[in-house]
Amino acid sequence: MLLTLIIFIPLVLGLLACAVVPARQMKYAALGILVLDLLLSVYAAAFAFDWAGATQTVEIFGTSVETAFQLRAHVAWPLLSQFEISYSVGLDHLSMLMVLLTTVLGIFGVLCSFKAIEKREKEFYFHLLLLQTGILATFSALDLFVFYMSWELMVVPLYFLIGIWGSKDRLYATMKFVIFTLAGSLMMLLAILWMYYNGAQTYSYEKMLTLGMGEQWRFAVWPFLGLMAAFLIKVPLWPLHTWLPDAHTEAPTAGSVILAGVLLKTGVYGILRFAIPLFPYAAVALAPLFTWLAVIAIIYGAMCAMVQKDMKRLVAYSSVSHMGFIILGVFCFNAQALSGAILQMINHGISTGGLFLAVGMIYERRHTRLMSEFGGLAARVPIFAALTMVMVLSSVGLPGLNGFVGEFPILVGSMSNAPILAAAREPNSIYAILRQTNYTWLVASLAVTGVILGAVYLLIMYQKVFFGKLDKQENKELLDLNGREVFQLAVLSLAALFIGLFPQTLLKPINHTSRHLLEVVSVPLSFGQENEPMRYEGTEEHGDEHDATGEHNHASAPASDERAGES
Amino acid sequence: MIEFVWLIPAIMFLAALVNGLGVRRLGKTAGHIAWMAMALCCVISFVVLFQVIGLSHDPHWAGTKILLWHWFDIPNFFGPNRTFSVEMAFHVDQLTTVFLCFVSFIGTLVFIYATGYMKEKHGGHLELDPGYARFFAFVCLFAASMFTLVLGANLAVMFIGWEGVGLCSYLLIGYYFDKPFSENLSCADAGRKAFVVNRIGDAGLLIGIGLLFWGLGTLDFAQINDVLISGKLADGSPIPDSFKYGGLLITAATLCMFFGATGKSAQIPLFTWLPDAMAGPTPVSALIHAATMVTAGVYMVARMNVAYFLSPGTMAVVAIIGALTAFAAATMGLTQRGIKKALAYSTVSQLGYMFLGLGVGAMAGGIFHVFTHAFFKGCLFLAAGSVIHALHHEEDMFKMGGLKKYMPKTWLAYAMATLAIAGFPLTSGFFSKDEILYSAWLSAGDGVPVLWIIGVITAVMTAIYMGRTLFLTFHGKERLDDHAREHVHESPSNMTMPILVLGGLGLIVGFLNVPHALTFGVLPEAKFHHFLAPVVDRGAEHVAALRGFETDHATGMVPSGPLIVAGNVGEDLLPTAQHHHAELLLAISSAALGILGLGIAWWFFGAGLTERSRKLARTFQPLWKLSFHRWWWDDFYNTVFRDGTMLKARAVWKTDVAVVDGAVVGIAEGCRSIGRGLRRIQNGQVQTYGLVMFIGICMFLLYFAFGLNNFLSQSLDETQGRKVLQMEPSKRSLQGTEVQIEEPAREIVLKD
Repeated sequence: MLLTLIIFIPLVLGLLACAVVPARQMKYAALGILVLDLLLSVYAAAFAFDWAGATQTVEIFGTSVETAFQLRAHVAWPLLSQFEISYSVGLDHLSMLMVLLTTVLGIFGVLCSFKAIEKREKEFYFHLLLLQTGILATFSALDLFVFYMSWELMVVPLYFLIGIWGSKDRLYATMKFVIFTLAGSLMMLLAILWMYYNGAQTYSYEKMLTLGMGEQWRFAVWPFLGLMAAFLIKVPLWPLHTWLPDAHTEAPTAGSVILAGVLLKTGVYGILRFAIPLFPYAAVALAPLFTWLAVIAIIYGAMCAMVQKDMKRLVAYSSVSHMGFIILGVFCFNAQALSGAILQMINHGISTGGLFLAVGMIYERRHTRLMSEFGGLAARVPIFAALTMVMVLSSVGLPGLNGFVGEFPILVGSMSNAPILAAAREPNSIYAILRQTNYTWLVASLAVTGVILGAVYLLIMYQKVFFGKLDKQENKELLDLNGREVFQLAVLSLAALFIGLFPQTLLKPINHTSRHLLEVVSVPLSFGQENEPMRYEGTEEHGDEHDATGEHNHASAPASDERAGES
Repeated sequence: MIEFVWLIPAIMFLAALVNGLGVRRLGKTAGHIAWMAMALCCVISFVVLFQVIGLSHDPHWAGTKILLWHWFDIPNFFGPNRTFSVEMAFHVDQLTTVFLCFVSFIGTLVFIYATGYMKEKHGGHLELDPGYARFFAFVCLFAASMFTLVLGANLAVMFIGWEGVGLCSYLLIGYYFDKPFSENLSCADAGRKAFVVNRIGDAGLLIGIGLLFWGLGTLDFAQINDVLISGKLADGSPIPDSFKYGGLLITAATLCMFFGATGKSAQIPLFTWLPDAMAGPTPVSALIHAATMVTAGVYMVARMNVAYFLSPGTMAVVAIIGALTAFAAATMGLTQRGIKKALAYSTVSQLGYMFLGLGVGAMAGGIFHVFTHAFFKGCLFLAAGSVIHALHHEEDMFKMGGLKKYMPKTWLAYAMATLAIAGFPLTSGFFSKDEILYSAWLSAGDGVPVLWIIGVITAVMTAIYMGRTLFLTFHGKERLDDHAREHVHESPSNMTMPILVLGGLGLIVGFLNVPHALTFGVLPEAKFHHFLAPVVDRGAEHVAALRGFETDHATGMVPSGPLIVAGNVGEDLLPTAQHHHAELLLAISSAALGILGLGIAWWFFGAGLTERSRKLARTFQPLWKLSFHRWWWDDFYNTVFRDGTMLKARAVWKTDVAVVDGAVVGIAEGCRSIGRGLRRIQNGQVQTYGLVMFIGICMFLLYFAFGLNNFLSQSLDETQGRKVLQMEPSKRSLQGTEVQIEEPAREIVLKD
């Protein structure tokens, strides 16, 4: 019940507020609603959620299921229960963290819109609240049908947010975003239907896990790719990323913050929650593909970011690069890399969300985002300069701030994959090592260039905006941040510092999640290795018969010639 | 006190925070907060030093670890059982203490100096620099990072400091963020260049750290040493072969980490940022870019000495890079016009010496040169700052000259430091350089001592360019312009006191580490080396034991480091009385060469900028150009790497717009045009609809009437039959029977 409240409070109270609150006051109402939501989710995390992670046994459509999800709600719908569709939500460690991230960043979404949004305020805040409900439902859905519905629900409000309150090319950007996302969703829908008709006969995710569908769908690649298509478009991974720069650039600040901070994470979340556990074999088999795409994304996104003139577009491309790191971490299937990647999901929400907030604050003052319009602002707005610096550094991955504690385990983890260690124990020849290192060493080394390029593009941006001569008349009259703005950036800066120094608070629950995930993929990961001796046996038999076969060969050769002659 | 050593970075961080938050209100107080905090740290450091001296009498004491909290903990759930566990922990041993003491001591002096330097005379009264508190916030943050760097108990904590000093360096180089630095570089550019070049090195360091973790399962310095020496991982299994002596991966890891060191310590290939780092205020140049931060790379190599000794290949690279950098930078320093520029190249060159020392196995020698260099180079920079301050930001030495009579105290300090860096006998530079050169000589074994020759040539050049800066600045005719002449004055005492102290110490600290050959039975021998030996000679001892030669000899230490690295150690090559004889000879010759260099400088520049010195430049025009343009090294990097990367980035972005996004847009456009095409079909004419309907019905009729479905199923069977054939041929022994099964099947198909 608590979780249902958390999910639907923004929607229901938002509707109510639309009815009773005057448009000018709507922002306060929205803020109040989101604070209430945040308090509830914090309460849930602090008191209702069992971080030790006990499992419970429940009954779902007549099957008794052992589930690790908590705060569950399971309501069978009268007409749909014959298809085993139900309203089913629940949280585990991963989704609890994501829910917290969502409720926290939602508040920033409202705070940064206080002054920026002047037209059609009621609708704006209602869409923001609706978006919040969609995201929260996505993170907590345990029924694929519900998941699909909430996945689609997220698109609608964002479509309006960009399309109505965006800047110049908003219609193009929002259409692109919607069509891109819908194309992905369609493939996901097909995959879900495939799953239903190929053995699952249910839409309940928990039940699917119990039925051991992962083993049954060992050779199912296409449905896995269908799911991945939807998720990777949302992430977005190269080459499916091109909607992102447009959407970010045109979106209002609140839209960008929520988009970068939370919405992109739904893609990774989907991979971690559904794609990998349901299709572990396909995930392991295709992992090299995704790691390579991730590496391309890291370097490619950074390269594109380097030459942007528009600050928002720059940050958007930096998101492509950073999300590449996360995907890399996920598909290394290594505890360090995976935990780092999940931690990085939260970190990216904070630092990129912060950067978008900062760009929005500048935009509010000057109504331009072109870097060439600025310069020397550090002298005029020192508080703004200092707080933006923290966000930039957190995004660059300076140790002591949050970006580092995510990137570092990803890099270390992606290098220390088991096959490499095995190779290192082999005789000391470069050939032996290269042969067995798989691709991971190379991947990690290439990914490190992302760390260098990250410093390049963000510092270029910072320098162009804040350093240099304060020569533009408009910039000489800029006002430094007001209390509301300082609050936003300062809170995020402190969060960045806190996570940077005490990541263990988050890593504990995250480790829990990665442990579960690795348990799932450990079978397919060792699959090839177990098969190895079997294949050896086969060849040995073959070898024993070698002489005999050789004779056979000679004997049968004329026979085959005859056959060829006949036909 | 050792348990409370975390107070040192904490105090500095607090000072930074106070200055940062009160950046608008504090005014003059900011400087006082900063230097007092630093002085407090200095006191704590010395207390720690005395405790450590006491503790190091116990041979089993290998440093004290202070665990603050667990930073990361990510267990490996499956696969090899190693937890990625990183503690936020500090570690105090001899090496750490040495760094703590000289950083905090020199830091205090520099901070006091800065309280004077960061003021300008405007119309008769002193005015604080507009960013006074910001400056002190940054330098305090820098100090906190530097202390974290040397205190860190593992590579990750060291990396906090490592990046932290890089960040502060970035912020301080770009301190005058609205001013240009040189014709094509603003101060902010210079800062960014420093950060990015350092970051390139850091990427190498990160890979190195990753490799080490993967091989050894730990990042803790003490554990890394233990694992490497015992050959056993924490869980008792043996370490991978490639991490044993001369192994491929230990070489790769140490090389990657050394690449990081070349960034931070300005070695070839990543040294180009340091000369441009002079865009920052001079106290920063003195503290960060001469005395402390740039030595981080040396510290790291010395800290990891066990790993480095285990990979002779890396050691050779370190030594060669060090020697080459020392030489190249010295040639560049010969012709620079800016006094700080010349000093910057001198720093790069001296850092090269340090790496030469490390590379040939004289870890303690390298660290000792770090130590002495911090004093005289700090003094040189501060004195140069005093001159620049007096001349109102004039840095060009060609517009100075004859300043001795205006600024006697500054001259005295500068002259003392010049003697020290030139290796004048019995000054600190003489002792520290001598130890490195001696080790370089030994490392050659029976071969030609190439490294030693390069080192000696560099030593002569050092003396020449340092003499040149001294004589051009303080001696000869005045070449001041009017503006400067109006302002020239001796600096206030809060600036001259620190430089005199540093200069004086620069002369005498060398006696802390007198080599055996020069003790003459009176002086205490190699105290510095003895103190550090338990830390920095561990690798040499281990490798010596590993390869089965005696570590014990006349001095009771392991200066056999260089011999181990050279790899040609026999009993006869271990240091003997004969070698001490050679050491004495070498010392005398290098001292003579230093004096010779100073003499050459005096001959050409003693009277300032004269026809004689101009003629010298004209005679060797090509060489002069090579040196003045710094071998065109910067231009090469700018064209190839900076512009090249930007070009590539632009190309990538163009690709993104045209190809990747083009494909997306193309698909959308394709759909639209298909729709546009299909729209024509639905044109509302009944005749057309009728025609289409008719064609459709015809096709249905054809399908059923003429057995089209039979034809389809037939071909389906055929393909299935072929499939059977394709699947089986591996079972060769059964081929005969299979054919028999196959043939009738095909016949049936044909009959149908």
